[in-house]
Amino acid sequence: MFKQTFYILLCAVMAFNLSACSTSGDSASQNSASLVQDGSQGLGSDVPMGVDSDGAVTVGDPNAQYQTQFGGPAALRENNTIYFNYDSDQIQDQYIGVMQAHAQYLRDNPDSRIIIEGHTDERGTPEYNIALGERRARSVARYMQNLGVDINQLSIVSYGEEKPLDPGHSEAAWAKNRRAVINY
Amino acid sequence: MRFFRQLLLAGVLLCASFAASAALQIQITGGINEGRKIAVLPFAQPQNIGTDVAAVVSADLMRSGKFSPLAQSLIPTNALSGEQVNLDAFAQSPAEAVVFGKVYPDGNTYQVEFQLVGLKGAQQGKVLAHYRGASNIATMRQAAHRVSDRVYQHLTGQPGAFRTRIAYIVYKHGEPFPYQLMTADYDGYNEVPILKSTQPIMTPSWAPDGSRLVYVSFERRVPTIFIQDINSKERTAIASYPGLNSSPSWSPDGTKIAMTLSYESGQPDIYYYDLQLRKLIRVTSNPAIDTEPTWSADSKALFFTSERGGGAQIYKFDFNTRQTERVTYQGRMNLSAKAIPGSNALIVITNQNGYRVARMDVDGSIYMLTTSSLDESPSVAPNGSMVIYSTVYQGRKGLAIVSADGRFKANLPSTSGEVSAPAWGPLLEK
Repeated sequence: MFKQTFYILLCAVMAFNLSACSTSGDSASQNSASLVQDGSQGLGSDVPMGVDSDGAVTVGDPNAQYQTQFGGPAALRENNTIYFNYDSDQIQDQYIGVMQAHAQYLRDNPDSRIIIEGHTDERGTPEYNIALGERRARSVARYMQNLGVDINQLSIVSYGEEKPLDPGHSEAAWAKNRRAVINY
Repeated sequence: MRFFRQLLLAGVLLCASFAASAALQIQITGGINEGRKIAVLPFAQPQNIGTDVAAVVSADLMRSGKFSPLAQSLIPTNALSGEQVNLDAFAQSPAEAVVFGKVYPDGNTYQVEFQLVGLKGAQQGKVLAHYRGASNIATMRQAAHRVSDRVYQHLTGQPGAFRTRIAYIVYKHGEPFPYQLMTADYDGYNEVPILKSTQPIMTPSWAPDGSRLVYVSFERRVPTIFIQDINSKERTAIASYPGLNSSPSWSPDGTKIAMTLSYESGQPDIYYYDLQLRKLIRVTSNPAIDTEPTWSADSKALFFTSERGGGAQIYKFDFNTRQTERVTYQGRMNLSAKAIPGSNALIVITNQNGYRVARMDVDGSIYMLTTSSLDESPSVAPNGSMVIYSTVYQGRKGLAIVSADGRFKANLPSTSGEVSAPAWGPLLEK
């Protein structure tokens, strides 16, 4: 598939001169500045790149394991998803056990790290849903922190509506897609 | 010119047999009889051309919503006498003007020639526009779109946008790189793959010179905003912060890219990256969700979606006054604002019996343009005439076009995969 594989450089993030200044009349929120650390640590720093025969740049390794496999303890494999109501990031009582089980494991295994993926259903716009998915992931992360998990063991990523569990367009499919998934 | 008339007949016969090779097909879903009536005669053209020039012109004019080309059955059989319009034949026709022309070999290339002739009132019999230009078989669709642009410009006073490109994302389930960023002509022809990834790609936005795209890629598992030069393939990451890196939007003046980041406050806020100063500037700092920044046509204001007032609504930040004002009040939720070039109206996604494409006029009223329920990612043609967006129909995600006046609607079902995130490119050619 790769006619020629070469690495296109310039992938490094440009060094920013971060002079963030609040320009609007909005009230700045100074609290919880870094509840969750950079989710990119140790992930995807070495993404394979190439050029396909049709000229498209290709990125990623189609054989990579993390896309399909749960990297955590086998006992928690079937118990790693928290479902949400429509347009909500409120954790419902029936999922507290899921978080307690993972929190226990993380406290017992301080070298383990999790990534919490936030997902939404397809209703609304993709960019709004990315924000909503992040709120769901943060909501789970905050809860895990309250259960005594070290912040450095937690990272989050939002996929919004981009990775539905069920690709259907029905209420039943949407209910399955409004979720946060704990992965290791 | 007997030859001319024979070719004209051949053109009629060929009319129905084209349009099979586009990556996105066009299915008209409404409003074809409400525009200005115009007659587009089959072009006299050699059979080996492969592109039915008149069919392309007719489809272009119809999609703008401003025109309703006559059905072939309503075009008089004796429309032309030689290369002159037979005005008597159009005496009873509702068409206000007629487009006709021909394609003929000229050495190694072809000449494409057309005339626009008025049929009513003081314009009757007048040549309103005419043009001849060289083309070859590979660029014949472009030549046809150029005819459309000239006809459109003459009759509306606005530039046509028929020689523009769109970018979009295709998801091809089961492929090694299922997430694919493509560009194509606005009608889905001449598709070119730009980026293929194992992970999602989102929100492509064009540089105003049409040479680069900015988009979000999850190739590192977490989101990164990249600029990619579509010719050299060179990529530059411009944002890879903890949390969100989303919703990039290139300013029409080319100097800035607005985006949504959440690393400072833990909440999504609007920023822009100044490409000249190489500096990131924060625009909003509000504890509610702020996202989907897009630019006003003069690059002096940003529209964005915010939940600061409760439900998601559209707000506007003005760089001159440094004030933020709420823009939308009607409807439970309004999202994804896009300025309409040449007008003070906005295109939004409004939540009212589902999520639909709507136009918000200057007086604040919301005019629904679609009747579907899962519309998203609207993008407006650079002349303001048409909106392309993503929706779900027949159980699949695909693109659709609606004219900004709501008159014309068409689906563009893909021949492969689920299509989303359309972004209309700039006007480049005169």
